[in-house]
Amino acid sequence: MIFNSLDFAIFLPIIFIIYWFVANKNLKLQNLIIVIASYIFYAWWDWRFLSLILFSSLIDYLVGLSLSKQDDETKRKQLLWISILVNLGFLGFFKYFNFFIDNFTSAFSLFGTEISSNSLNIILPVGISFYTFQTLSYSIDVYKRKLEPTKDIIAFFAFVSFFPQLVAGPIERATNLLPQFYKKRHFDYAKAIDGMRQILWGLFKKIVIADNCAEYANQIFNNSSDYSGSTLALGAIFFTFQIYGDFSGYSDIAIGTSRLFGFNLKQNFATPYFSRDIAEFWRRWHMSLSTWFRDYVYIPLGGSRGSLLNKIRNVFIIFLVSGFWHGANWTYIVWGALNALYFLPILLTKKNRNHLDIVAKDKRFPSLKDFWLMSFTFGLTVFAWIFFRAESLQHAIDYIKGIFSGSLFKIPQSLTNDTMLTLLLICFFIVIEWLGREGQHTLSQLCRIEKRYYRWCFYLIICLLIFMHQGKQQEFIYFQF
Amino acid sequence: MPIDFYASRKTTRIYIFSILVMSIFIKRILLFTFLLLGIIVLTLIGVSSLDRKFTSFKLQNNPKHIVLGHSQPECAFNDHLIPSLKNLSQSGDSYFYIYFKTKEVIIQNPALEVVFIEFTDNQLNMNENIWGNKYIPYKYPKYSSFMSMTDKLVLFKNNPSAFINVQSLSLKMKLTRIIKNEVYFSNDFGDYFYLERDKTDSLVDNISSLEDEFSTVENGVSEVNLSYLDAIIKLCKETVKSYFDKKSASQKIP
Repeated sequence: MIFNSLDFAIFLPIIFIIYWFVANKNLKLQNLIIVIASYIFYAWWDWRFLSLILFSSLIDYLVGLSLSKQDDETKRKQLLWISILVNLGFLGFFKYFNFFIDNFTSAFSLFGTEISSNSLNIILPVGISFYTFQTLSYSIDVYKRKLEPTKDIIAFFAFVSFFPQLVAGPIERATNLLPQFYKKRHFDYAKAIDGMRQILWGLFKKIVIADNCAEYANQIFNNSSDYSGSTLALGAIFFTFQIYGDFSGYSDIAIGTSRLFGFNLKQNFATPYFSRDIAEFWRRWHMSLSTWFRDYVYIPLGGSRGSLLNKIRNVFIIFLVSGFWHGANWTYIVWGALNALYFLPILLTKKNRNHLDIVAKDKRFPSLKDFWLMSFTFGLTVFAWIFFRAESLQHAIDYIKGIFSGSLFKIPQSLTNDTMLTLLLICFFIVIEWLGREGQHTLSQLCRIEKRYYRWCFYLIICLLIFMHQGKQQEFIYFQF
Repeated sequence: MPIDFYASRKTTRIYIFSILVMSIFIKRILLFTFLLLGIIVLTLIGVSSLDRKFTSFKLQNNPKHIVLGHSQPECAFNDHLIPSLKNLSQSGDSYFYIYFKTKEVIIQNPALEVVFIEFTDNQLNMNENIWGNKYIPYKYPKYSSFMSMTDKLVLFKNNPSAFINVQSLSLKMKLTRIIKNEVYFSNDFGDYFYLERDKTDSLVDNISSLEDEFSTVENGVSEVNLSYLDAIIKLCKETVKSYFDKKSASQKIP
């Protein structure tokens, strides 16, 4: 089931009413409803893969319980490895098996040895990268004694499969989400209204911005050899907004939906395209994944401490792993490496924590310096996204060559009235994001207008824009990761 | 047990309070939803009535004969070679959509004397072409302004999600035409289509993919389509002569 579908529009109110009106007095029943709803939500896509979630949840639940009873460090380590191997084993098989087989075969053929390989026709279970990381964080935190293992199996299963964030995050830590399943939840009007606002803005990002940009980005990337440099540059910009609208839109809907049920999920995006350097960008983009890698990979490796060589190694490892997490293709790895190259000079000159505050705080406009820094960082990001979107490395290289050809300064070929309308919508989107950049989410700040009449007019305009653009339904990009 | 008594009273109070707050929340959301739906419906009605005024079915050169049907007559009758004839057939046209076209063309072209209606075996099972996911976005926006509520209900009953999804596309297309002042667009309703032989061959080569596309809707005898054929015949009887143009369906192409 996807958020921007009629199915979900029917599913959500039904679950909401059962959850609050039928099970309001009973916490266990509420948790059970969440588990059932989450499994229905997932099974809507393919019920067979529910067994993976169930198995993964059961293993981590049992590992958690065993860890609490075990004091012997060697045995504790063994238990942790069981959890890691099971979770990463599933992930590795479903996501990376064919990639490794194909690359293995190619590597052998480079040395003149032809080996026959049988890549399998494997379906990638939706959301496997997300829930695997979520359950892994539980086992690691219990192992490190940062978290008491839960005995409440329903609460744990609800934590792993919580439907708003099951298939595309945010990747929640057990330390944040799990305790929320133990506490009695009361309906909070202000929280629910704010959740609805966040859902509305998420739908706008997905349907109006991402799906519109996707149409042009797909057209330009799929026929890149036919277009001029300026059109290719425009295609890369369209993709930049597509991926942001798509993924942050999903996160907004997920966080908003959770708030309707009385849960607080962590912020996943904080207007990343207003960043003044790459370090700031990575503090604001897919924050739940960045902090996961920081806490479970980067810091255990030594982080930014140690020798210069160690620092460089750690930065490359975290960005390459992050790239590889996105998909089994060299394009993602190069995308990760490119970001590492962007990040390294900032880290080595110790400027990575220069921009911790929000840009132009309490001001209407940015300073010229901030504007230049934002534009420069945005340019670097757009360039890196080309690798992320391209079908292969060769495609990315040809695309970049195409951009920097003589036709870069020609008027783009695909500038039709519809394209201009999409560009106008992007401008509107940037303005609203800028105005709401200091809030927890874009509309939280912006909708503090006193008069309800003005607020409702604004919501109605957003709803009408969503309605006008809802015909071109495209799947969320991050489902494939 | 006074403590338990107070605790339970407190719990009950919180419960009642949260139910009250929830009711207010649901009421406001419903109010907003109805307001939004009202605005959408009013916009759709307003734009449709504007579209009816803007759209012209007046044919150039006042032809006396027209041909209606799907891709077969579309490619068969070259109206550049036959005097006083206009080919208004269009690929994928079912009687359901042909009816609205015929009605408007007859009203706006009094010089019209004869309507040739294609009758092919595959017009019997045209459900896919009426409400299939592929055809609704293609056909509905063109004719929706000329449909009655009953006609629209036929589509809604048979494919509600596609019908709901197509409303925005339809609104956008109509608004674009009105803003651009595209009054005359009869070619959008059908025209003679010159077939290049090499393209035909490539279509036949890809016949399996074509068959896949025709499998989304149960495709038995389409009573809806036949009832609209009846309606077309009744409509023609009032003002013009109508003839069936019988064609045998291709063995390969459905």
